[in-house]
Amino acid sequence: MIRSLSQFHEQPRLLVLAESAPGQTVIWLMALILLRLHEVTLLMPLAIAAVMLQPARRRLILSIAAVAVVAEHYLSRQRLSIADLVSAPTGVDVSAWLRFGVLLTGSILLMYGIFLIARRAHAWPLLLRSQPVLALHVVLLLGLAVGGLWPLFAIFGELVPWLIWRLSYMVKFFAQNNGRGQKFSDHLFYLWPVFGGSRTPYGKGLDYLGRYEAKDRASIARAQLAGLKLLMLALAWSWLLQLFDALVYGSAETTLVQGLERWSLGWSRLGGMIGAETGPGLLEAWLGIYLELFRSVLYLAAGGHVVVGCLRLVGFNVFRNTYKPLLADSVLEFWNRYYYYFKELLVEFFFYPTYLRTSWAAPRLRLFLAVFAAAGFGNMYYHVLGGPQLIMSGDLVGLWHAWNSRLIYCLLLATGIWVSMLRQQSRRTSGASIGRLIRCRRIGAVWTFYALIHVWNVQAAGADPAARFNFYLRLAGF
Amino acid sequence: MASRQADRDALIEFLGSIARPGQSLEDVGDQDNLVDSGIIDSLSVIQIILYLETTHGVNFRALGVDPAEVVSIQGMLQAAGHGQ
Repeated sequence: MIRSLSQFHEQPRLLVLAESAPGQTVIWLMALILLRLHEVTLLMPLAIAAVMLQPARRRLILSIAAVAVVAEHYLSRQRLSIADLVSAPTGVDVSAWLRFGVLLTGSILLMYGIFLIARRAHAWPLLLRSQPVLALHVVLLLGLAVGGLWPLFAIFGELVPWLIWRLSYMVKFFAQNNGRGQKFSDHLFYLWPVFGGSRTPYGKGLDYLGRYEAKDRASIARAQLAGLKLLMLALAWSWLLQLFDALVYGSAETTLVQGLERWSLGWSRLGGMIGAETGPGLLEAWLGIYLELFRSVLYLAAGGHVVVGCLRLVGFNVFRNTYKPLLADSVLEFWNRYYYYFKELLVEFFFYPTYLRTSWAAPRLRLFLAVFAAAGFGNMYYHVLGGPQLIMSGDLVGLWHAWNSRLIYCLLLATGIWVSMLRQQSRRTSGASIGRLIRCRRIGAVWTFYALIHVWNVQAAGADPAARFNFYLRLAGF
Repeated sequence: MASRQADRDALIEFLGSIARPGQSLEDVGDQDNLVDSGIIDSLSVIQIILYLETTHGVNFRALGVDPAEVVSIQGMLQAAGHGQ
C-alpha cells in the first residue's frame, strides 16, 4: 500500500489518465500550486503549459523562456521593473533601461557567438580540437583577466561562473558530434535554464538531456508524474528542514515554524561552534557534526528536487540530483548519491581525461591521479571559479585566505574516495555478500567520514585552519 | 563471428563482476546505456576502460574514443574491435 502510494507515478491507470487533456490540466494545476509553494517565478509554470501544448517545440519554448530569465536577471540587477515602466513611462531612468538593453543583448550575443564557434569544433585546429574544453576555459579565463579592466566587461565576467560548465558541455557535445542541423535553441535552453539550478548544470548538456527527452505522450506523462512526485518530496524536505532549524538551532524564519523556537535546543550551527572562543561539550560537538551533515543533505535534496522536478515536468526524465545518500554504505557511493550532477561534472571533465592520459601508470597510481584530478583539483578549481573577482584582480593572497580550508577538504575527500574505490574493487573481486549489521556499521562509518571532513568545508566566520584543527581536538576530548 | 561471441560472453561475465549489488544484466539489450539504467555507476566505467585496454589492447587516447561511448555492450564490443 505504502509502496503503491509512493510509486504513484508508475501506476498504469494513472499514466493513461495523465495523457488525457483533463489529466494534463490537473498536472499543470498541481505543478502551479507546488511551484508557488516553492516560490518559483510564474515563468516556469507558463513554460510548462507551453510545452504541454506544443511538446515538439519544447527546446524552442524553453529557449524563449531562457531569454526571459536573462532579462529578469538584469532587471533585478539594475533595480528596474516592467510595472514601473508601464505605469509611469515618462518618469523612467532612460540610461538604466539602455544599459539593461545592452546587457541583455550582449549576453545573448555572447552565448550565440560561443555557440557558432563551438558548432564548428570538429573543424578547429588539431591542438584545440583535441582539448576543446581546456581551450574554452583558457579563453574565458583570459577574458576574465582582461574584462576586469572595463566595468561593462566586468558585468559579463560575472556570468562566467554560471555559464562556464554549461558551455563546457556544449563544446564537448560539438567536439564529439557534427554540428550540422543544430540550432541555437537546441542549446540556449540549458545555457540559462528556466528550470533553475546552481553553477552546476543540472541535467548536464544536450547529449544527456537528449537521451532523456520524452518523445511520445506516454513518456511525457510518465516524466511529468515523476516530476510532480519530486516537487512534493521537495516540499516535505523543505518543511522538515524548517522544523529541524527551529527545533535544533532556534531559527524560525518562516510562518510555518514560528513559535517553535521556544522548544529549541538552541545549539549553534557547526560553523558557529568552530568559530566560538569557548567550545561546545564533547557530546554537543559530536552531535553537531552529524546534525550538520543531515542538514546539508536535506538542504541539497530539497533544492535539487525542485530543479529536477521542473526538468521532468517539461519532459526530460533525468536522474535525481540527490538520491538517499544517507543510506550509502561506502564513501564512493555517498559521493555518487549526494550531489549527482556535480560529481558527473568532475568525472566528465577531470576524472576520465586524466585516467585516459595516464595509461603509463600502474592501476592504483592511475586511479589515484584520476581521483585527485577530479575530487581534489577539479573540485577546488570549480569553487575558486565561483568567485571570479579574486582571479580578475590577481589577488593570490586573497585566494589562499579564501580557499585554504576548502583545499584541505578536497584533499581529504579525494583520499577517502580513492581508498573507497580500491576497497570496492577488492570487494567485487571477492564477491562476498554482507549482512544487515555490517551494512549498518558501514553506513555509520560513511556518515562519520563525511561529518568529520565537513569541518573543513563549512562556512565559519573568522575560523582559520588552526581553529578547525582545534575543533578536531575537542572531538577527541581535549 | 565465433570470436565476437566469445568476446561478448567474456564481457558479460566481466560486467557481472562490476555491476552494482542487486543489479542483473539479464534484461539488458546491447544498446542499453548501463550507467543510465543504474547497472553500473559512472566511476565504474574506468574498470571497463581498464578491461578493454588489458584484454583487447584498446588505446582510448590514440583512438579518441570517449569513455561515454563504452557504456553499452555494443559500444564496448566496437571499442574492443578497434584494439584487435
